[in-house]
Amino acid sequence: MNARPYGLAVLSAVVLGAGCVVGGAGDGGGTRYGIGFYEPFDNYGSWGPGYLVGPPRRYEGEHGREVPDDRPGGLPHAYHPAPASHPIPSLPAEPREEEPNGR
Amino acid sequence: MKNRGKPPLILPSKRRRRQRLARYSPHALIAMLLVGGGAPIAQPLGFQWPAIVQPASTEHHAGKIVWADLITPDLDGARRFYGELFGWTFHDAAANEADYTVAYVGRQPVAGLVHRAMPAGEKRQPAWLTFIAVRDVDATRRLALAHGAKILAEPRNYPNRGTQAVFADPQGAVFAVLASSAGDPPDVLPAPGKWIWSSLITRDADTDAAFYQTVIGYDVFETPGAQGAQHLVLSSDDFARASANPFPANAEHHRAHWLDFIRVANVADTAAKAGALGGRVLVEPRTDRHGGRIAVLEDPAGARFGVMEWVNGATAQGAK
Repeated sequence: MNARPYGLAVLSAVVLGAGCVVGGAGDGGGTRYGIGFYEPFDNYGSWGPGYLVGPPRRYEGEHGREVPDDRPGGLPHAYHPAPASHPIPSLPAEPREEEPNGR
Repeated sequence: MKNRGKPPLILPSKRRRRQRLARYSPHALIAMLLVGGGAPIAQPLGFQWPAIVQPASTEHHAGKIVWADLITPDLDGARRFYGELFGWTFHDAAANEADYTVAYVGRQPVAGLVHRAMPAGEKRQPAWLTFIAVRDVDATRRLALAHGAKILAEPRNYPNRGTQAVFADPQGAVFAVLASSAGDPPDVLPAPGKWIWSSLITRDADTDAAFYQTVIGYDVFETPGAQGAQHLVLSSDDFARASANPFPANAEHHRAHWLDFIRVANVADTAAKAGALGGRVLVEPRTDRHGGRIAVLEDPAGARFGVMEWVNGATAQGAK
C-alpha cells in the first residue's frame, strides 16, 4: 500500500490545524481585537465654555463663512479646508416615519 | 443567544467515522480538508457575528460612524448599566461562548459588548471602540499605514458583519473601520438610545483631521467662534460625522481617543441616573454648539462615552 497520500493527508491536517491556532487563538478566538485596556484617566480635564465638540446646527454657514487660512499659531493647515461656499453640514433630519434602521 | 431550540450535536462513533472515511480516497480527504479549511477555520464553533443593519440594506455611507464595540472586563455589569440607562436589550451573539453580546434599541442593533478579562492587579480602563464605514478595508489599511497609523488588528472578514480592521492613528487614537456586508445604517437622525455623534479628542486636531481626510475621505470644516479652541467638523455625503478637537488646555497629558455620544432626551437626568447606577460624570452637563446639552460619562468599569440632546427642528430653526 502506498503510504504517501496518507502522509500528505496528515501533513495537510497538521498545517490546517496550525492555521486554526493562528487565526483563532491568535486574536482571542475571533471576538477580540488585539487591543488592550488603557491607562485610566484621573482627570478628564475641565471643558471651558469655549470648548465645543458638538455638531453644527443646521443652516450654520448657509450664507457663506470664513475659512481660516492658518491654524491657531499661524501654521498652515495640514488638511484641505472645504470651500467657503459650502455651508457646514449638520446631522441628518428626523426620519419621516418609523426609522427602519439607523445607528 | 444560547443554543436553545437546536438539536443536540451527536458525534458518530469512532468505528462509524472510520468506516465513513475509508470510503474516500486520500486525495479526496486532502481536498475536503482544504475546502473545509477556508473561511470558517478561524471561527470558534457556533460563533456568529451579527450584521450591523437588520434587515440588510444596500446603502453605503463611507465616513459614517456606524458601530461601536465596548471592550469590558465585566459583561454582566455592562449589560445592567447600559440596559438601565438607555433601555438597551441584549442578545448573546455566540452559541458556544458568551463573550460577545449585541445591544439593541427595539429591533435595531446598536452596539457590541466584548468581554475581555483584565489581568489581576492591573489598574486599566476599558473603552468603546469606534467603527467608521469604509468601502475597501485593504485600501484603507494601505493608506492608513502610509500616513503613520499602526495596525492593531489586521483586516478580517466575519460572516454577516463584513470586513474590519483596527488601527491607532498617528497620534494614538484607536479606531476601527468596517466594510459592512449588510450595508450601512441610513442617514436619518438617530432615535434616543442610539449613537448620534463622535469626537476625536487629540493633541493636534489639525494634523489628525488631515490624516482622516486622506484615509477616509472626509471634508473638513473649521467652525467659527470657538474662543481660540479649534473645532473641526469631519463630514461625508454632506452630513457632519464627527468633530476633531485638541485636548482641553488643562488636560494635555491625555491620550488621543475617540469619544462617542448617545442621543438622550435629557442629559441632566441621564447623568444623574448614570451616577446612581455606579457610573461617574466626567464632564458635567453643558450646552454645546448645537444648542443642546452634552455630558461625558464613565460606566462602572471605567469606559467613557458621551450623551447628547438634539432637538431637531426647534434647535436648528431657533438658532438660525
